[in-house]
Amino acid sequence: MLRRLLALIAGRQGVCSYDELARELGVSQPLVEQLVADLLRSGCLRMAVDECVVEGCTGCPLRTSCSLPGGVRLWELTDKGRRWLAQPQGSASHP
Amino acid sequence: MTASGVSGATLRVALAGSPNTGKSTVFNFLTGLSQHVGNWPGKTVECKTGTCQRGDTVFFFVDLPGSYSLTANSLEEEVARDFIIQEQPDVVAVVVDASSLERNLYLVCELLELGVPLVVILNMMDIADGRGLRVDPQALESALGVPVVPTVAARGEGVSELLDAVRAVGFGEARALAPPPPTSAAVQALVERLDGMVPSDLAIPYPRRWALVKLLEGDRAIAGAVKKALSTNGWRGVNSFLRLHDDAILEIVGARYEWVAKTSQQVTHRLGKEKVSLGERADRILTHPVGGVLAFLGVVAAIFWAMFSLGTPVQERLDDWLVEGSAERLQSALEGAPDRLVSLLADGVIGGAGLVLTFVPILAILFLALALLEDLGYMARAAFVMDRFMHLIGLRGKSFLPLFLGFGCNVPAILGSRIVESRSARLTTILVAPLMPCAARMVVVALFTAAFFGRAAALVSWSMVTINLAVLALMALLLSRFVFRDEETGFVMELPRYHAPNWRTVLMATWQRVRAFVVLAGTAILAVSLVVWALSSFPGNQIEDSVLGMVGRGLEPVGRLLGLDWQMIVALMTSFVAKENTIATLGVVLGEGGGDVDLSTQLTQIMVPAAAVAFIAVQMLFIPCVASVAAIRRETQSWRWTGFAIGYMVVISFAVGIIIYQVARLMGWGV
Repeated sequence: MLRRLLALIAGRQGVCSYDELARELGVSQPLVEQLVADLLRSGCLRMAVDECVVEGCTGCPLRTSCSLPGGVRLWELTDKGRRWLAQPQGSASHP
Repeated sequence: MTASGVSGATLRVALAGSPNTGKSTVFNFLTGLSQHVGNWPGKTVECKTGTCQRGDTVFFFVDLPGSYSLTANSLEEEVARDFIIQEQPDVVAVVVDASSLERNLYLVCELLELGVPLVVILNMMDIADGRGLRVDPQALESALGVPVVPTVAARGEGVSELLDAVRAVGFGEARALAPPPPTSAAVQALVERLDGMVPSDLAIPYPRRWALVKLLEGDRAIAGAVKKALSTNGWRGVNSFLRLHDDAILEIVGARYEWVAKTSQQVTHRLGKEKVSLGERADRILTHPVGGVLAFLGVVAAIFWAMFSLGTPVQERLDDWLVEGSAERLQSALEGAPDRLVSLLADGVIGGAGLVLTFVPILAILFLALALLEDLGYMARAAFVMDRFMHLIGLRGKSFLPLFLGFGCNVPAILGSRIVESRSARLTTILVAPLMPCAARMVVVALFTAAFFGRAAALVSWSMVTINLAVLALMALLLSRFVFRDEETGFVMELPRYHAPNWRTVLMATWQRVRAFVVLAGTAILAVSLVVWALSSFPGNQIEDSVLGMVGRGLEPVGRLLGLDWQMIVALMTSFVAKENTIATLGVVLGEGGGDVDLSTQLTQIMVPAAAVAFIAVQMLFIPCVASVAAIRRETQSWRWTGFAIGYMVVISFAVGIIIYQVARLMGWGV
């Protein structure tokens, strides 16, 4: 299922939500959140936006004019994720 | 004391479960006042224990820290796992939330793999019922092969049955061990090969086969224990093997999730129609590819309506009191003073920077609306649907986030483009970011649309924003098709939950933005107002003979194409310092000969509506302020691209302005 999720993200053009991924995988949204957390921990996904942009607003000189939507977390595929996805399914299949 | 297979003994029961499953409620209900709270030995994690008795059996419960799996991703999970494996309780009672079974079954799956005596507590059955879900405990018991007890711990329902099940498993009277979910042949082959690389007498405090699977999953704690137990060469070989097969986690963890999804679907039935929460219903519209964009445009229109219907009347009152009233009071107070000094204070300071300040109510409504929508959780949805739109126009991936910043101010939008890794996509973002309609431009739009279009002001403003976004789309499309080409990538966005607004946060955010605007009016705008006043006052006594008048008349041929007088072109030029200077300059230039007539009325006297709407379009698309240009130079590290940005914006702004003027005249707005 992790591989299916990776393939879904890699095949997307633009942003997708947990809800959309859940519908495409046929599972619940909380399970997708758990899958994404596992992919993050394994290094297949990473935070796409610098933390300074999303979280470090307190000390930012631009904060008074900033309207970045709060609470947004954006994840993107890493090179590792792409490499794993390119490998044939069934990890014992390669030497 | 442990269970010895006879009645009358004490059973040690580990209470496991993911966070928010009601585990603490179960524990509290079972143990009541007999709890003891301390820390796990050598850890800063809280350890709660407690006892209860049923018949002649004493149950000694250990409330384990919440964990989603048996992989030690956190200190809490490490503590929970080590207790189960190393302390070997008589029974592990795992609490799962019946209303979110899929999220909780992963831990159950891992406990089955570990082969511990297990009882599953199917808690929150009432919540599941409330959501229209019916989880069949018997079907789950058959699927898992271990006892499953439905409970509503908050009301104490099912707790007696739970103790009976724990007792039966603890004393070996009920089946407690089930075959683990099947693993793929590929993973089994990997485990076999790894098994051959590790000595059979490996001294680690974990079950051998389980530890080998965890090694393949990349579990650091297990890897550390194995490394410690192996020779340097032995570990080197194992480590090379693990690195070569580092993608094994996809198969192992993925297979567990497949089992979780399948099992959950087997035992869960929906009662009637799916109960959809208000937030989910809202998201179906607000994140819909078409509905979401329409909703976004509707929200923008509503903000404009509020700005004009609520803000403009207040702005007009402020204009009467702050600008005209203050100028009159000043002139009477300074009676007899040199004319130049009175003109400097009345026209330069009050007529310039003071006039800009009267727009605080309109801007405050805009800032309040943005802060409120952000706090509600809507802005993230707006960004989400904007991405769809931007994708259509060739912008890729992360560009939409910095561009979204442009609604407040173009400078952070340009600086924020550094989150886009690809140089080509970053350059496209930087070059189109100044086309986002910033709050400063909206002040100018507010002045002109209210003066010329009355009740239709909100509609005209909305149309102007739409034109800006359309030009932005066209530019991005042209740049991405013909200048920069980039790969498309996918992203996952976690949308925050909707929640009632925290008014303190909302008002603080609004106040900070309003204060920044007031500071700007008191510094940069005031300075430019004074310079404009000086240029319009010297030499000579008539503004037409002044430096500003001469420069303005030199630029007048450009203005004629748009139906604009030289004063308007001069005002446009001074907006390069800050967009609000357009108003300040008009206040100074028109104020000097305006007498008691307010600026809005004067504007309607010197230009027709067709010219006004053309001027708004030019102002919206014109070169951004000097701070934005500096940001473009800084981010592109290129004068060439900075020059390109300035050049294309000058050309586009005047081209669009001329087209709009000619079309508006044909529509009868030229009279």
